[in-house]
Amino acid sequence: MRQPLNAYKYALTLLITVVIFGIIFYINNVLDAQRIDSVKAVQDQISLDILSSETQFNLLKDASCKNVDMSILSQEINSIAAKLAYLESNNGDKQPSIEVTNLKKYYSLLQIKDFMLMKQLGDKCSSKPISVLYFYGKSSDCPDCEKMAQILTYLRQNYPQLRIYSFDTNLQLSAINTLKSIYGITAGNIPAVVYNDESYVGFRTIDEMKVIIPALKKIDAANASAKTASSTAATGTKAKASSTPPATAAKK
Amino acid sequence: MLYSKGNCNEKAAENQRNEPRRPPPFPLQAPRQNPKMSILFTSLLYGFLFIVLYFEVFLILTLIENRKSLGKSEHLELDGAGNVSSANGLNGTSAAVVYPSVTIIVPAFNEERTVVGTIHSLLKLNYPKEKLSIMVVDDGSKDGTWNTVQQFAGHPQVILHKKVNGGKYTVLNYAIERCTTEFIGCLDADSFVDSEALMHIIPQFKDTNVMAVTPSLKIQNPKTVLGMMQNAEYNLVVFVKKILGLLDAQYVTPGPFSIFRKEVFNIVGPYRHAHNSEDLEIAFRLQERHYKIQNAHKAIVYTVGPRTVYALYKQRVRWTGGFFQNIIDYRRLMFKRKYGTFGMMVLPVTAITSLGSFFLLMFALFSMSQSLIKLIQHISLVGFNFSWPPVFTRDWLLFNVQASMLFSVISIGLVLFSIWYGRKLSGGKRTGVLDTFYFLTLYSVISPFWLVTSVYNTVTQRDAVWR
Repeated sequence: MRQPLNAYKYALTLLITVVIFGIIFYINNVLDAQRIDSVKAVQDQISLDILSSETQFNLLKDASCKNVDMSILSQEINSIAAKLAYLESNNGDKQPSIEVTNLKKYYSLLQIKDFMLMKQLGDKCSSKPISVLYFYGKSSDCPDCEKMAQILTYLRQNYPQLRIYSFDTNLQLSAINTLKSIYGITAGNIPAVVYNDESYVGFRTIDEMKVIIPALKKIDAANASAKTASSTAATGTKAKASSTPPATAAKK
Repeated sequence: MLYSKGNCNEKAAENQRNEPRRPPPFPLQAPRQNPKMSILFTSLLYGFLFIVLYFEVFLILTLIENRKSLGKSEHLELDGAGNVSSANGLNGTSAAVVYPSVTIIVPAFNEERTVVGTIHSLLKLNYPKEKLSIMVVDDGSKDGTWNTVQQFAGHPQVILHKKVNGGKYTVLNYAIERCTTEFIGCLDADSFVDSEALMHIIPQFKDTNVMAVTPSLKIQNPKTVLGMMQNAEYNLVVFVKKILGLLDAQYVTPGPFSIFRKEVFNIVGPYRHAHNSEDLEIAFRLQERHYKIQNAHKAIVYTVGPRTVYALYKQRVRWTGGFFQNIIDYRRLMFKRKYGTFGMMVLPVTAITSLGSFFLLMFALFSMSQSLIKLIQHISLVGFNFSWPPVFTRDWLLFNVQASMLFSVISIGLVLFSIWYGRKLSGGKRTGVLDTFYFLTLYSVISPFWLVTSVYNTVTQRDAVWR
């Protein structure tokens, strides 16, 4: 006859399996707790960075044009942005925590401050920074936002002079709402890009963005001429190097 | 130049240019949220993992429970001929031993290259010559098989038959009708037996309720990557088969050298077509009648194994598809207490894990295609220009990475143990680190292909072809 079912063994197996599962989830929770700690540390760091940036703004407002180093500020903002992106991506599928949302609000305020400061500096030092405001929303409300984000990320990477200030329209922040009303942005017309106080609604390709921002084309042209110049210079030195000893060429 | 107007901006412009080319990206977009899909997927995955782990723990517990008897049976078998008598319940010295008569069928369909080797390996079996006959059945071969086997014409132990082609199960039934011995088995013409194999198998029949005994299958001389991969897999199967044998829950009596009590075919009927997996169906039928299928792990049978990926794919489509279709045919055995571990555990778990892996595979393919669509979109928008970290990474990890890592570690550990123990049981030579490596890596790459085809064949009720 066939062996009868051994209920005790089935139960024991169940117990062992549950214990193994329990251990795995316990270890998982411990690791999760560590990750949350590291996220908290990053949050603290962001708060500090924001405070420091605010102080810098106040200092720079009164500084003379000569001493202004615009890159410092944008670097600070970039690093805060990167940390925020890390926090958001670490959050996975869950709703962003209040802390992260608050940090994002702070960051948005900082961006607005930077935008205004750049404008002031531009007037004062008669330069024209290329500043772009970008309004986006949840991917469910705004299917084009993801594509637009890719275009802007590309532009940011390839044109360091370009300053992009991005605003999540879902953040309940009065400053963003004011900004939206200034440029006539509503929930229905995102993604939207604002350049030179002019707003452009809907998805734009790279070439269309260059039409909107002619300065980018100028940079392209400058880069192209610099390239040809450097290449002719290189051939020039080469020709020289072949006729004179390397040491003298280096001196020159 | 943009900043060249005022003196004050020279420095700024310079600094701008000195900025790193690829600054970290802004959080330009809200994180994607897809919680419903993710919760469904995660709970399915955890349920699946729980069942797999439960089954593995059950196998290991059974091993621990039986580890003493495993050693004991080995010792008995090692005594060889002397124990055959005691195993059969017959007293006396080896002179008085009564060996039961055995017929081994060699089905041959276009096997002119290997059939002679197979017959020679059977003739070398350590068993009384007058009690062992070999029945070669040419299943209407189109090559020189029939001419090749003529060299055995007139051999006292070899009987040659030729019939019109009808498939493997018809060959077996043809031989069963014509044989008069107590026991009957089969050895495919691509397999070879170890000379002691029958001596290990016959004592298992001392229990009159045992109707079939399965051997341990090994890959013959694995040299290629594919061979080594299958070698590790077969060692794993040796372990699983042994444990299932202890539980009266073996679900297949493999074609190569499973030995049956001949009378069982009078009771349960002849072999059936059974979606080209007659060796699976007959085991299901024996289980349905509560007959025992034992395993003799020391009885070693070497098989060549498919040499090309395509041949392996075809073989596995036949196995997996046949398995699915027979499970559907015998679904009445599932979750019935009277079918013991076979009905309550082996059938449901194998069915669920097969289907589960299919759905996980589909899910993986789905998320991969989503990422691919995004990738294509990205390239079409901005060309080959990738930011770091890539925009795609986030969606890949729908479920908690750490937990899945821990589960992988545990299940790989259990697989390694099973392979090691299977080799220990069947007495393999090499450690086979590379074999195990190939098994763990390549198997997961190629098995989805036959899994998909098998599911397709099952849904469309299509039988896989032999070759």
